Amino acid sequence: MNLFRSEEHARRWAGFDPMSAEGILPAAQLHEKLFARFGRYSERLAPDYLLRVADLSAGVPEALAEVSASSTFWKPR
Amino acid sequence: MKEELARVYHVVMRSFVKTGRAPHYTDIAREMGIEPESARLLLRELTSLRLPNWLSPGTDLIASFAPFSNIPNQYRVTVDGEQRWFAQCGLEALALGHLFPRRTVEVASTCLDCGESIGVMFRDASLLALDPSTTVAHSNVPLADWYVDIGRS
Repeated sequence: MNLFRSEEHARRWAGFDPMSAEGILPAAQLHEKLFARFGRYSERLAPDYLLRVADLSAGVPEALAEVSASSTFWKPR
Repeated sequence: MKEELARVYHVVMRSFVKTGRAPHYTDIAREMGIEPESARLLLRELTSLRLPNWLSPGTDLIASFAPFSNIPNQYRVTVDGEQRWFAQCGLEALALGHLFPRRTVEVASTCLDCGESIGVMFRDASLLALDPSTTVAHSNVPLADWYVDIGRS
Protein backbone atom coordinates (compact mmCIF):
# COMPACT_ATOMS: atom_id res chain seq x y z
CA MET A 1 0.00 0.00 0.00
CA ASN A 2 1.62 3.22 -1.16
CA LEU A 3 0.94 6.92 -1.29
CA PHE A 4 0.92 8.84 -4.58
CA ARG A 5 0.52 12.53 -5.28
CA SER A 6 -2.74 11.89 -7.15
CA GLU A 7 -4.76 9.16 -8.84
CA GLU A 8 -2.99 9.97 -12.12
CA HIS A 9 0.38 9.35 -10.48
CA ALA A 10 -0.80 6.00 -9.08
CA ARG A 11 -2.04 4.89 -12.50
CA ARG A 12 1.23 6.00 -14.13
CA TRP A 13 3.44 4.15 -11.62
CA ALA A 14 5.54 1.40 -13.26
CA GLY A 15 4.31 -1.12 -10.69
CA PHE A 16 0.61 -0.32 -11.11
CA ASP A 17 -1.56 -3.38 -11.78
CA PRO A 18 -4.33 -2.36 -14.23
CA MET A 19 -6.67 -4.69 -12.32
CA SER A 20 -6.26 -2.54 -9.21
CA ALA A 21 -7.94 0.68 -10.36
CA GLU A 22 -10.43 0.39 -7.49
CA GLY A 23 -7.50 0.06 -5.11
CA ILE A 24 -6.99 3.83 -5.26
CA LEU A 25 -8.55 5.79 -2.38
CA PRO A 26 -8.27 9.47 -1.37
CA ALA A 27 -5.93 9.86 1.61
CA ALA A 28 -7.93 12.65 3.24
CA GLN A 29 -11.12 10.59 3.23
CA LEU A 30 -9.34 7.53 4.56
CA HIS A 31 -8.08 9.56 7.47
CA GLU A 32 -11.44 11.17 8.18
CA LYS A 33 -13.63 8.09 7.83
CA LEU A 34 -11.28 5.42 9.20
CA PHE A 35 -8.20 6.48 11.10
CA ALA A 36 -9.66 9.45 12.97
CA ARG A 37 -12.73 7.52 13.97
CA PHE A 38 -12.08 3.94 15.08
CA GLY A 39 -10.48 2.54 18.21
CA ARG A 40 -8.77 -0.07 16.05
CA TYR A 41 -6.33 2.70 15.18
CA SER A 42 -6.54 5.07 18.14
CA GLU A 43 -6.20 2.60 21.00
CA ARG A 44 -3.14 0.67 19.95
CA LEU A 45 -1.26 1.79 23.04
CA ALA A 46 -3.88 0.43 25.44
CA PRO A 47 -2.51 -2.54 27.44
CA ASP A 48 -5.57 -4.65 26.59
CA TYR A 49 -5.77 -3.58 22.93
CA LEU A 50 -5.29 -7.06 21.54
CA LEU A 51 -8.07 -8.45 23.71
CA ARG A 52 -10.48 -5.81 22.38
CA VAL A 53 -9.33 -5.36 18.80
CA ALA A 54 -12.33 -7.20 17.33
CA ASP A 55 -14.76 -4.90 19.15
CA LEU A 56 -12.67 -1.85 18.30
CA SER A 57 -12.88 -2.80 14.63
CA ALA A 58 -16.67 -2.88 14.50
CA GLY A 59 -17.82 -0.55 11.74
CA VAL A 60 -14.49 -0.48 9.91
CA PRO A 61 -15.68 -2.55 6.91
CA GLU A 62 -18.71 -0.27 6.52
CA ALA A 63 -16.53 2.84 6.67
CA LEU A 64 -14.20 1.36 4.09
CA ALA A 65 -17.20 0.60 1.89
CA GLU A 66 -18.27 4.23 2.22
CA VAL A 67 -14.85 5.56 1.19
CA SER A 68 -14.57 3.11 -1.71
CA ALA A 69 -18.16 3.49 -3.00
CA SER A 70 -18.81 -0.12 -1.97
CA SER A 71 -16.07 -1.51 -4.17
CA THR A 72 -15.61 -5.28 -3.85
CA PHE A 73 -11.86 -4.57 -3.96
CA TRP A 74 -12.14 -3.34 -0.35
CA LYS A 75 -14.47 -6.05 0.93
CA PRO A 76 -12.89 -8.13 3.71
CA ARG A 77 -12.70 -11.88 3.36
CA MET B 1 -7.17 -14.59 23.22
CA LYS B 2 -4.36 -15.15 25.71
CA GLU B 3 -3.57 -12.27 28.03
CA GLU B 4 0.14 -13.06 27.47
CA LEU B 5 -0.27 -12.25 23.78
CA ALA B 6 -1.83 -8.92 24.66
CA ARG B 7 1.18 -8.19 26.86
CA VAL B 8 3.60 -9.04 24.05
CA TYR B 9 1.65 -6.79 21.69
CA HIS B 10 1.83 -3.96 24.22
CA VAL B 11 5.57 -4.39 24.81
CA VAL B 12 6.26 -4.30 21.07
CA MET B 13 4.09 -1.24 20.48
CA ARG B 14 5.59 0.68 23.41
CA SER B 15 9.10 -0.16 22.21
CA PHE B 16 8.37 1.16 18.74
CA VAL B 17 6.94 4.39 20.09
CA LYS B 18 9.85 4.92 22.47
CA THR B 19 12.80 3.87 20.30
CA GLY B 20 11.58 3.74 16.70
CA ARG B 21 12.62 0.07 16.52
CA ALA B 22 11.12 -3.31 17.25
CA PRO B 23 12.34 -5.19 20.33
CA HIS B 24 14.09 -8.56 20.00
CA TYR B 25 12.26 -11.44 21.67
CA THR B 26 14.90 -11.48 24.40
CA ASP B 27 13.96 -7.86 25.14
CA ILE B 28 10.33 -8.92 25.33
CA ALA B 29 11.28 -11.77 27.68
CA ARG B 30 13.15 -9.43 29.99
CA GLU B 31 10.31 -6.93 30.01
CA MET B 32 7.73 -9.61 30.81
CA GLY B 33 9.89 -11.61 33.24
CA ILE B 34 9.61 -14.82 31.21
CA GLU B 35 12.09 -17.17 29.52
CA PRO B 36 13.43 -16.13 26.11
CA GLU B 37 12.01 -19.23 24.43
CA SER B 38 8.56 -18.48 25.83
CA ALA B 39 8.78 -14.95 24.43
CA ARG B 40 9.93 -16.27 21.05
CA LEU B 41 6.97 -18.64 20.84
CA LEU B 42 4.52 -15.95 21.94
CA LEU B 43 5.91 -13.56 19.32
CA ARG B 44 5.49 -16.21 16.63
CA GLU B 45 1.91 -16.81 17.79
CA LEU B 46 1.18 -13.08 17.84
CA THR B 47 2.47 -12.57 14.30
CA SER B 48 0.43 -15.51 13.02
CA LEU B 49 -2.84 -13.75 13.90
CA ARG B 50 -4.71 -11.96 11.12
CA LEU B 51 -3.25 -8.59 12.03
CA PRO B 52 -0.82 -6.49 9.96
CA ASN B 53 2.24 -7.63 11.90
CA TRP B 54 4.93 -9.97 10.59
CA LEU B 55 8.43 -11.36 11.03
CA SER B 56 11.24 -11.20 8.54
CA PRO B 57 10.93 -14.52 6.63
CA GLY B 58 12.93 -17.36 8.17
CA THR B 59 13.75 -15.39 11.32
CA ASP B 60 12.31 -14.40 14.68
CA LEU B 61 12.90 -10.72 13.95
CA ILE B 62 9.96 -8.32 13.70
CA ALA B 63 9.89 -6.80 10.23
CA SER B 64 6.73 -4.76 10.52
CA PHE B 65 4.14 -4.07 13.19
CA ALA B 66 1.31 -1.74 12.20
CA PRO B 67 1.55 1.19 12.02
CA PHE B 68 5.37 0.93 12.16
CA SER B 69 8.04 -0.61 9.97
CA ASN B 70 11.26 -1.94 11.46
CA ILE B 71 12.84 -1.61 8.01
CA PRO B 72 13.63 1.87 6.72
CA ASN B 73 11.40 2.84 3.82
CA GLN B 74 10.01 5.93 2.08
CA TYR B 75 7.61 6.76 4.95
CA ARG B 76 9.83 8.76 7.32
CA VAL B 77 8.08 9.77 10.51
CA THR B 78 9.11 12.79 12.54
CA VAL B 79 7.70 13.57 15.98
CA ASP B 80 8.25 17.03 17.44
CA GLY B 81 11.12 17.52 15.00
CA GLU B 82 12.86 14.18 15.64
CA GLN B 83 12.98 11.60 12.80
CA ARG B 84 13.24 8.17 14.38
CA TRP B 85 10.35 6.12 12.95
CA PHE B 86 9.10 4.62 9.69
CA ALA B 87 5.47 3.87 8.85
CA GLN B 88 4.50 0.37 7.78
CA CYS B 89 2.98 1.54 4.49
CA GLY B 90 1.05 4.38 2.88
CA LEU B 91 -2.19 3.35 4.57
CA GLU B 92 -0.78 3.00 8.08
CA ALA B 93 1.11 6.27 7.58
CA LEU B 94 -2.31 7.88 7.94
CA ALA B 95 -2.90 6.26 11.35
CA LEU B 96 0.19 7.44 13.18
CA GLY B 97 -1.18 10.50 14.96
CA HIS B 98 -2.72 8.42 17.73
CA LEU B 99 0.55 6.83 18.81
CA PHE B 100 2.07 10.12 19.97
CA PRO B 101 -0.62 11.89 22.02
CA ARG B 102 -0.55 15.69 22.03
CA ARG B 103 2.55 15.74 19.81
CA THR B 104 2.98 16.87 16.21
CA VAL B 105 3.60 13.94 13.86
CA GLU B 106 4.87 14.44 10.32
CA VAL B 107 5.17 11.81 7.60
CA ALA B 108 7.52 12.73 4.77
CA SER B 109 7.15 10.43 1.81
CA THR B 110 7.99 10.26 -1.87
CA CYS B 111 5.66 9.54 -4.78
CA LEU B 112 6.80 6.28 -6.42
CA ASP B 113 5.77 7.65 -9.83
CA CYS B 114 7.49 11.04 -9.98
CA GLY B 115 9.79 11.11 -6.96
CA GLU B 116 8.27 14.34 -5.68
CA SER B 117 7.43 14.76 -2.02
CA ILE B 118 4.24 13.92 -0.16
CA GLY B 119 3.73 15.37 3.29
CA VAL B 120 1.23 14.56 6.02
CA MET B 121 0.96 16.18 9.44
CA PHE B 122 -1.17 15.13 12.41
CA ARG B 123 -1.86 15.94 15.99
CA ASP B 124 -3.82 13.16 17.71
CA ALA B 125 -6.89 12.49 15.52
CA SER B 126 -6.58 15.75 13.58
CA LEU B 127 -5.11 15.88 10.11
CA LEU B 128 -3.31 19.24 10.11
CA ALA B 129 -1.88 19.13 6.60
CA LEU B 130 -1.86 16.93 3.51
CA ASP B 131 0.41 18.05 0.69
CA PRO B 132 -0.70 17.74 -2.01
CA SER B 133 -4.38 17.55 -1.07
CA THR B 134 -4.91 15.19 -4.03
CA THR B 135 -2.78 12.47 -2.37
CA VAL B 136 -4.17 8.94 -2.71
CA ALA B 137 -3.38 5.58 -1.18
CA HIS B 138 -3.20 2.62 -3.54
CA SER B 139 -3.06 -1.16 -3.15
CA ASN B 140 -2.39 -3.57 -6.00
CA VAL B 141 -3.94 -6.37 -3.92
CA PRO B 142 -7.66 -6.67 -3.03
CA LEU B 143 -8.26 -6.47 0.74
CA ALA B 144 -9.57 -10.04 0.88
CA ASP B 145 -6.18 -11.29 -0.34
CA TRP B 146 -3.95 -9.18 1.91
CA TYR B 147 -3.17 -12.02 4.31
CA VAL B 148 -2.09 -14.36 1.52
CA ASP B 149 1.17 -12.39 1.58
CA ILE B 150 0.72 -9.43 3.90
CA GLY B 151 4.19 -8.06 3.25
CA ARG B 152 3.35 -7.51 -0.43
CA SER B 153 0.03 -5.82 0.24
